[in-house]
Amino acid sequence: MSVETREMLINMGPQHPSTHGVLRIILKLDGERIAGSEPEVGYLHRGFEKLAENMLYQQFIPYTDRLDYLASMNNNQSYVVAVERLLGIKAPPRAQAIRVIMSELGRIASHLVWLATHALDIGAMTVFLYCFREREAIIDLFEAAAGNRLNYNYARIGGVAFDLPKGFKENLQKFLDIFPEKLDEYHRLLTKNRIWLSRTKGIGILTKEQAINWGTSGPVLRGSGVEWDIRKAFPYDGYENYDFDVPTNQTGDVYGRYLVRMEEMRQSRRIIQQAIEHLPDGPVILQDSPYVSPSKEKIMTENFSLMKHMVLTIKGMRTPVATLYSATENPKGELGFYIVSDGSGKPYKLKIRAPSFINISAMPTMLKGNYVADVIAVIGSLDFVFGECDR
Amino acid sequence: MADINFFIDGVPVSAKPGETILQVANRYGIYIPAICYSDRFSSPIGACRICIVVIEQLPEEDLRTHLEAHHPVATGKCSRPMPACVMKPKAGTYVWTNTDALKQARAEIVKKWDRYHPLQCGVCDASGECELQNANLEFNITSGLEQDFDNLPQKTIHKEWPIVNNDPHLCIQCKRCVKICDDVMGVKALALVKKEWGGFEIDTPDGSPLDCEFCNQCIDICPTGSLESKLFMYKAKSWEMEHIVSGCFFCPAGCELELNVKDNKILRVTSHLPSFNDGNLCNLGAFAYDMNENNRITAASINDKEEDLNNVIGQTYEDLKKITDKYGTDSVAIVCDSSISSEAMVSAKRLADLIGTKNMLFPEAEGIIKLDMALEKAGLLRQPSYDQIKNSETIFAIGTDLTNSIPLLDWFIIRKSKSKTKKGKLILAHYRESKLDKLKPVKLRYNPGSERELLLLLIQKLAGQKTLEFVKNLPEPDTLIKITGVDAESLETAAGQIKSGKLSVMVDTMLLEKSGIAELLADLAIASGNQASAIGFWPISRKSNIKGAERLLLDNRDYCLDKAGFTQRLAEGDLHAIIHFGNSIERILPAPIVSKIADIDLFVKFATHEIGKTEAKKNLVIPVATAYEEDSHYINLEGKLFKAKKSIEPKKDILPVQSIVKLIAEKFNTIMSPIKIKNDFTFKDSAQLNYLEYEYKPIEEIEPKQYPYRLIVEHSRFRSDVSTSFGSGPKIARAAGYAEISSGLAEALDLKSDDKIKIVSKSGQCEASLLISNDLPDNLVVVPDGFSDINPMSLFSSNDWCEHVNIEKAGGNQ
Ligand code: SF4
Ligand code: SF4
Ligand code: SF4
Ligand code: FES
Repeated sequence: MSVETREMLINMGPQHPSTHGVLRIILKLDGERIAGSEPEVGYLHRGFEKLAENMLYQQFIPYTDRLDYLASMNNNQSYVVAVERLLGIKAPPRAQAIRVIMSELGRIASHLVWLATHALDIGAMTVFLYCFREREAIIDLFEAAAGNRLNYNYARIGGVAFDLPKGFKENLQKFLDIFPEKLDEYHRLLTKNRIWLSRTKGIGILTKEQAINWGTSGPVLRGSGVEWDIRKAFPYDGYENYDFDVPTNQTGDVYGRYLVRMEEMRQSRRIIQQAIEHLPDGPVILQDSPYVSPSKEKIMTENFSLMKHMVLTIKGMRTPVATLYSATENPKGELGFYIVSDGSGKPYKLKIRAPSFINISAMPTMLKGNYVADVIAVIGSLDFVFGECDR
Repeated sequence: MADINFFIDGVPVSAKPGETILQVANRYGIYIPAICYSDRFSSPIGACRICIVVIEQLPEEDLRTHLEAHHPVATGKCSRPMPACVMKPKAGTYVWTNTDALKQARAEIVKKWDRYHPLQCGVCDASGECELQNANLEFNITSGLEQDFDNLPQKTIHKEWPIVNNDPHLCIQCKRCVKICDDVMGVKALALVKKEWGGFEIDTPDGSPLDCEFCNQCIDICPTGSLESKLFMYKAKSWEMEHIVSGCFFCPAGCELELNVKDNKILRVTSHLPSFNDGNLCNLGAFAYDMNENNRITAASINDKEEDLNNVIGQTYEDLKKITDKYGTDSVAIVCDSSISSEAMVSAKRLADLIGTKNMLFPEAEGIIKLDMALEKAGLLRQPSYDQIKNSETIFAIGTDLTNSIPLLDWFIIRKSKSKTKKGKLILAHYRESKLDKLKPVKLRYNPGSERELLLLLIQKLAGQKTLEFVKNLPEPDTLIKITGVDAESLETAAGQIKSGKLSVMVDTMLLEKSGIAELLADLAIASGNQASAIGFWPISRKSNIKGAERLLLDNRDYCLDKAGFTQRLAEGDLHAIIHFGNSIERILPAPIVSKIADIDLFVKFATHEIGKTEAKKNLVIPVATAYEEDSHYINLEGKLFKAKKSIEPKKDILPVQSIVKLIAEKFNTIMSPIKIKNDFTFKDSAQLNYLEYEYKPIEEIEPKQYPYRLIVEHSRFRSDVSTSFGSGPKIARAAGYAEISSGLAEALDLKSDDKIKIVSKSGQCEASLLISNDLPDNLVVVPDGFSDINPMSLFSSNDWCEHVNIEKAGGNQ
């Protein structure tokens, strides 16, 4: 009697707790090994890019919240920076510093969710609870500043919506003070843990060359040994003025990516510390700008301010006729906005380069030859969010 | 003249002779801000000075080096700022449009406008489309303005004006309104007037409430909320409405316009640019839109009892069947208004085919068909385009007041009169004054009714002895002059001008119904010595699809019933069923014919509006959609097919004519294909021009003693089809129908303006309030058509073009 062996196709997702959203992966299995895989995305498609064509530039800010909803602050910043570049304006120094603080906090919060769920997927439950504890502190800070706990809609073209509230600085400092200890605690739980090591080391390898060829970015790219960070390469909102390192790891495996993100949290804290210490005074949004509505007081007392405000809210800004691509370093990687402006108050075309979407495309390369159980580890290490991937 | 080469902001451009710097810049896509300028004007205003530029003159040899060194900014030696909309470029100069000094100067201008401007954008209708708002953002006005809102100059807000709300506080005195009213409309109803407080306001020149054509042009072109439509005020914000580009179906001009629609309601009409009508509209196009809501027939009925639509359709079929079975298919006649869409006309014809009858009558198209027949025989039948008018050397209009009939032609002629190169000559042959008299045309004032004699006089002047070959019984010129009462000198000038080149002949279709007119016009055109291709005939009617009717009838000549034939068949009892596509048959046929309808078995009416009532033995009424409620087509005066777009959903059970006829066809077991209107009609050119024979018979009118005056129907620009009576705008502009008589007659009869009078004819009577005019002959009573409250047709006893009437003060028998 002969035993027949053949490859088997199995379906993972689209509803699966470890896929971090609605992702379907078609796995081609040779026994326990993965012979091939094909991720299928698009279940969360909401047509953001098309929607953008039908709204004023400023109306699109809340939509960016819903891209990578674990890093709304960063998305807000990324989008308004793109529009500011289109208009040739810059937010006032204080607003820039606030945006840096918010987006680095956002990076930490996003990485905390990554770490929590990644560890949980592989079986480390405790880490999950600790990470969410720290993330809560950040969300409280966000709530105080923006009034919301998840979708902040905080940045504005030319600045931010509100100045920092009372007590923010102090609470932030408290968090910054305790956070390094907490980071050490996570390290103690995982970094030398044998189970963790065997589940992550040598798993889901993406070589430096593959990482570049697949167009990956962020921790995925840096985990494969490429030192590339848009905050350094094309600084925005004054990143050139902060001291921080860009961690990399040469291994290109799940563990490497883990180490990169762990270090990034430490670096973010470093940036925030600098920002808060040298927080400039002054307005948090451009004054007397043709792109920004005047203050309410002016609108109610000066007719030219009222008129400008009306046009800005009804027809929008007078933009230059131009095409532009602008990107920022988001927790997940390079978030880019490609804007075609026909001179009107609405984008003629707005394309979003979502890091999650591009990072996912490298997944089959990482999975090939690994075991089925590793899929979960690899997914975790890619840290994608479908709000952004599907848009 | 050669093109002028110069530079704008360092870009080499070249101007055509006569072009201003602004026009050149616009053509090259170089932006220069401009507020008081509009392409719609024949010349710039030069009031706002936002378009200022500086001009730099350099020696020829410096050209290259200068551009390379300084591109794209001005160096020293510039002129002082000059308005680009007025300045013509000079060869080899540099025009700079955006230097720092200019930016600052523009900001100062805007601040001047802002100084006394109220904080009102939140409640202002112009918000969102206000050019003052835009300018404030564009020039980023941020400060440097002392405002004292407690001590603003007290200006007069004219809420009392009809339709137009004028709030001078919002005005920036760009004078666009003044210019368009004068330059385009030729009305001059508005002016910038010095007021007691020391400044200027837009007002009527004499300060009386506005009384004008209420055409919407000034409202439409006002950059701010200063002039607003009272019909639209506070109804919607500018950005909430969908703008649907469509064609106006109120008269045969077919102007392009934009319907502003929100929540299935047309809230206003704005102009569409660029368009052949230059964005201009008349009172009807701009303000009659709510006729769609008022006085509509909303349910089908049988003998005035509301019934389910399907029942009525079934009943229509059965009754028709019964009648045709009994009396034959020839006993059914279909009567169509000429203001229904081409789809409706084709549906009517298809229904005729289903029934098997060829009896189709378009009463209002009789004149145009008569003209076509005459022109065809003469070898002159052609379809001229609007360009023909623009290029013609002479326009000869007879028996028509263009302003009141086809406003578009009035605008064309006014625009032509302002042109430097294509001014042309204008001859107005009419029995009374008209607005176009302001343009100083050659006026041929004749006695009404003597049009044939007038034409004979002109023909004779042009063709000389030859006239005797085709006109029999030609009277002596002196006799003709006496009959017409025309001024011999003007006649001479007119004849000379008709001879001078490309000719447009405009004539009212009501006049064309009169025998001999069409033939004599053809003879006149031939006598002018022009090639057929240089002659354009413009039959003037108020009925929007008169051209569609013409096409249909010329294509199906054997379907053509004329009014006389119809009258005879009806009188002889041959007709047993009449199907009417239109609102009111009593408005298109004289009273004695209409009264005969009472004897027929079945009257079916496809109508949009409740107007009048026709009583046959059995009456079916089927409500149909208006052109706002379906996609439909019309053919405009220059023979072009245009679409009136569906912009609102009709009420339940209101269907397009086409859909109803389709349902009826199903009863006939026929599947009706969708109607596709094409405009493939071609006129065959004929090489040979032939004079048409005409035999002159003097009119022997015995004017009966009890009816000493003549009643003539005229058009009013405030109404076309009666359904326009239900639009608010036309109603405000002219509330009710009227009867016009001369001041002499009024004095003789001791009547005063606004008196209610009774007009009595052999076949009917009606009441109207009196209007007294200085320019009418004493034996004339003039009544306008299209007013829902008075129906001149009810006074007519025959298909003649005029009727004998008597008038008396209403309400008393003293
Ligand atoms: S006219 Fe213009 S600026 Fe003035 S209140 Fe109206 S919208 Fe505002
Ligand atoms: S509505 Fe027409 S006619 Fe009347 S003032 Fe305005 S532009 Fe002149
Ligand atoms: S009313 Fe309007 S169009 Fe007329 S001058 Fe004032 S702002 Fe200009
Ligand atoms: S546009 Fe030239 S002066 Fe107003």
